[in-house]
Amino acid sequence: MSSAVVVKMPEALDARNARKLGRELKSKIAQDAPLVVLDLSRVKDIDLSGIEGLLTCMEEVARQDGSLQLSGVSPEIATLLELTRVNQLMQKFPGFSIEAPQFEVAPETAPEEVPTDAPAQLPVAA
Amino acid sequence: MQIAAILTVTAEESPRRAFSLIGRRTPENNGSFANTDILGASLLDRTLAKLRDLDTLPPTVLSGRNVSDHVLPSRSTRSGSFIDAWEKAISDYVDAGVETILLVRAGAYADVDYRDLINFHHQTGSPLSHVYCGETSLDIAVVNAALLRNTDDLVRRALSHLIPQQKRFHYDGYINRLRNREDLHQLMQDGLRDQCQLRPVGVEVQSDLWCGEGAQIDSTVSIQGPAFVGAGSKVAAGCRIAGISSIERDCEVDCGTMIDNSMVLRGTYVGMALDVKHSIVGNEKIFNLDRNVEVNVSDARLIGRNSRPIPAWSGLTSFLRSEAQAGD
Repeated sequence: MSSAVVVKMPEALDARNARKLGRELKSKIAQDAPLVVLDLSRVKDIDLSGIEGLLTCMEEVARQDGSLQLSGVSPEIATLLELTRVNQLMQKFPGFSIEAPQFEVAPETAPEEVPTDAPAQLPVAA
Repeated sequence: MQIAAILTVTAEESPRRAFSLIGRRTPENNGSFANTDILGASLLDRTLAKLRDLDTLPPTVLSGRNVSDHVLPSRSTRSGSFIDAWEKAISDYVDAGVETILLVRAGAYADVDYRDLINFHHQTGSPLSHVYCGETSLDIAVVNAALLRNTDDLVRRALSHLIPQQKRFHYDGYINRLRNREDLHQLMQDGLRDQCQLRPVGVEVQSDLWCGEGAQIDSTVSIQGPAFVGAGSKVAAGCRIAGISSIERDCEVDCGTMIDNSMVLRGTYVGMALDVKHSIVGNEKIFNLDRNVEVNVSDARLIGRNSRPIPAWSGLTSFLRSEAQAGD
């Protein structure tokens, strides 16, 4: 069983947090075909830099032939992801499911690892 | 015969308050859409134009935050700046010898023919005629001004005394109560589908595409009408407009963006390569009709205000200007 990196996204996904996300993700997904979950449940605001940060993550994961999915997507964030077409890009990734993920509230962007199972993409749209 | 008209409208507290704070679900609109452009003109401007066609005296427009919920304030309505101004307007018309006063509150949209209403009022000899749709009153009434003359009572009380004798003018045409943004979107679509008399302000440049004066649509734009692009608006290369959509006056839709089944409010910038689906965008916000959710878009590169300034009450000022020119 492979493990997934779960990233708790901060409340405001702006340029600073997007850069931090990119740095931390790079250090955590050195393995081939990483499975990454971006937990957006705390996110209340995303600007264009934050969207670019998400795209950078997607690019990084795709480069390593990995898979990425989103969780905790509120209707507000789903609306923004649809507006910026990020939801369409997310559909390009193969799905996977997380076995009993233990999400803990992290004060900042903080990746953690949880075991994963067979594929099933979480819905982006709320 | 002199006919006067008083048009009341609920004021928006500020353009920003037309939408709520981030993420709050607010299906009901607390203000009014009277000043919101729908297919190129606001309800207020459209009502003023209808009154102009009726040859009324220049109408009095009263705007306030505490406008009564009904066109006829009850006798117990407490005094305040709005109600005082409303009573003064009626008293002034009565003192000037006006015979008939048409009272309209710009709230719901209906295709009521004011001329038919006035004729009904005179033919029935009613002191007060009130428009009804089924058992629900619409905010349109006509009063015999002579009955308000020589009364020491407050106008609202004198009018209340007439209510038991009122005659109902039954209207069974199109109505949209404009209670929320879904209704606003519906009215826009009904206008484009010819379901009501609310017509786009512009020319049908091709089948099912109406454009206001000076609208610019790049030749690469794909359009599946019915659609409306308002005066002075610009739709850039590679965009797609579909699903009965309107882009109101003075907007800019940047390259590659899709506007689908949506309404872009007046003076809005919509950024590049976006998907606006079943939504109303404007005032730096997007309201998604499927999710019934509104999102504050903090980045003006996505949704912002178009640089051209839009004065409040611009429709009214242009109306007054045309009135002044007509009187010259």
